[in-house]
Amino acid sequence: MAQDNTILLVEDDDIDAMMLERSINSLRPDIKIVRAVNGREAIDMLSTLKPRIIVMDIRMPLMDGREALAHLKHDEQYQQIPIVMMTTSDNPDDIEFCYQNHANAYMSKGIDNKTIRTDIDNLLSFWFETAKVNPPEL
Amino acid sequence: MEDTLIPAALKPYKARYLLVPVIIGGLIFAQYSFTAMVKQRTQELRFNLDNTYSMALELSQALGYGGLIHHFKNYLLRPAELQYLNDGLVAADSATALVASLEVNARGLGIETTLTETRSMIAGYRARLERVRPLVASGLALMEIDDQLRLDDSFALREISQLLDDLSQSVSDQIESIDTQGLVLGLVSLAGTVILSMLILTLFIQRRQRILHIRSTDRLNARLAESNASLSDANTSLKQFAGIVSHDLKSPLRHINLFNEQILEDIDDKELVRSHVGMVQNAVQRMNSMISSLLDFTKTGFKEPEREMIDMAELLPQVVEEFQPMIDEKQAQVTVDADGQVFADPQLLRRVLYNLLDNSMKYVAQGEAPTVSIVAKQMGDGPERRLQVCVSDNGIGIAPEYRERVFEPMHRLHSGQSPYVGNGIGLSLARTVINAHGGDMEVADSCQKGTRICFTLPCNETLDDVQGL
Repeated sequence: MAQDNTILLVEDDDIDAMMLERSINSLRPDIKIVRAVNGREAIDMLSTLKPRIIVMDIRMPLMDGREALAHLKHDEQYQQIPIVMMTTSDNPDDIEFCYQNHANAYMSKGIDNKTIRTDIDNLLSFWFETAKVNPPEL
Repeated sequence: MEDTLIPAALKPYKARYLLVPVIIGGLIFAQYSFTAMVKQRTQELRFNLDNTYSMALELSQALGYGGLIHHFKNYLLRPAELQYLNDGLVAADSATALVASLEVNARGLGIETTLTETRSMIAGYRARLERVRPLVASGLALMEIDDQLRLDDSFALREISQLLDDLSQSVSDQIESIDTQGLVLGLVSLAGTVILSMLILTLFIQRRQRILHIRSTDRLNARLAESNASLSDANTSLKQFAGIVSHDLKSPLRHINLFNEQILEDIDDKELVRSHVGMVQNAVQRMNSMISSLLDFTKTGFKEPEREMIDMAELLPQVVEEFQPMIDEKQAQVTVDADGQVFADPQLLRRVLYNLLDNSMKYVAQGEAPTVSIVAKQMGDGPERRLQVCVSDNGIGIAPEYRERVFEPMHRLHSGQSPYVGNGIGLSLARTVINAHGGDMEVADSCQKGTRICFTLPCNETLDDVQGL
């Protein structure tokens, strides 16, 4: 069953995760947020979860966002799921790596509440309203 | 191997070196030729002189009683027989011819002369022969005629003897001069040989030095490249490390900013404000710890070890001693079995042991008392002799797939707010230090639960051993 209103949030930092969840909930209470704390956990969750998009951090323990991104985008089963990298890193190497590995977008984590809210608003309105995504199969 | 070390510009010298024996051989041959020439010339002169001497002797005889005078007396005794007159004239002719030959020879030996006395004596002789007959016809007694026509050969003989003396002197002068020339030429060619040999030797030595220089430059370059590589390694890991840390520092900074905004928003709710301030304090503490780690790593991780002989039985209890408050608090059990010595930097080694022990004390299941065992022992023999140190604990352990990754800088196995949060520096720093000492560190297999980390260090006795590595 397609879970069209679900976001998989891959974020190890509790505070960052809380801030993002709060912003998403305040803008679109209908969207369900499922959280994984590292890349490995996210990949494990995808066997049962079909999110509309994945929002993923880079620096995480055990398996970081770069590794998880490369893994998912090279797996036929998951490569159609849009992945938005949302990270503190503005390192050019990270940005290049992510786009080379077919990340759908690369965003910086906002430094204040207003920026976070604007970014999330943009992200949601694009991926949940403007963009046509390939509806995930069962 | 050698050829590759010689730059192309040096190679043509090789062909030129073939000329060396040729030139030296040529000089030696020249010297030999000079000597031979001198010898030949001297022999020639001596031969000619001898020749001239015998010619002079012949002439003296031809002039004296064996020649002219003899014929004169014969003719005087038998003036009627023209045969005797003829004989006398022939003798005069041959004497004249001898005089001419002698003059030619003398010229060949370097003296230009005309034997005037001798020639005039021969001419006088002819005149006297002509006068014999008229005097006999006049009836003069033979004795008187002989007295009148007495021929004095003493001037001629003196002249010839003088010429011989002169010739002898001239020849000996010439021989001396030739000898001198030969000596000079010999010396010159000898000096040439010596100078040329020295020149060639110098060139050869210079070339040798250039090759050696090139080789040593090559070696230095290789060493430079090596140390460059290690510097660049250090630089890369420092860069990588600094990048990671500065990136990680952004997180708490962002949190501080967010919670400050929250504080302003919730300014009237004391409880909320208190909670937000607590969050800010947490973030500040995290930043502080990261910055300390960064400083620590840059100070320790890139420090050149200052080695001295360390007795593990002394060092290990000192490290454990530092943990006494934590041991008491957690009711931990720490056992030490220390043996062996190692030549290492005591401060750095202490730091490594501290980090390992710190991890063992920290990463235990909630509510469990840490049990840590530290064993140090010597292994192997001779140059393979090593010190092995293992730290084993009863903690939460490290899954096999992460046994290498725990040594990457800032690679944490636990999430931001988990109870096991570290800053991902301890193990990476420890391995960096052990590697700098020429040793290895790894997570070892452990049959029990928990973690077992072992490192080995070479048992160098002195600094020379270390550099010989």
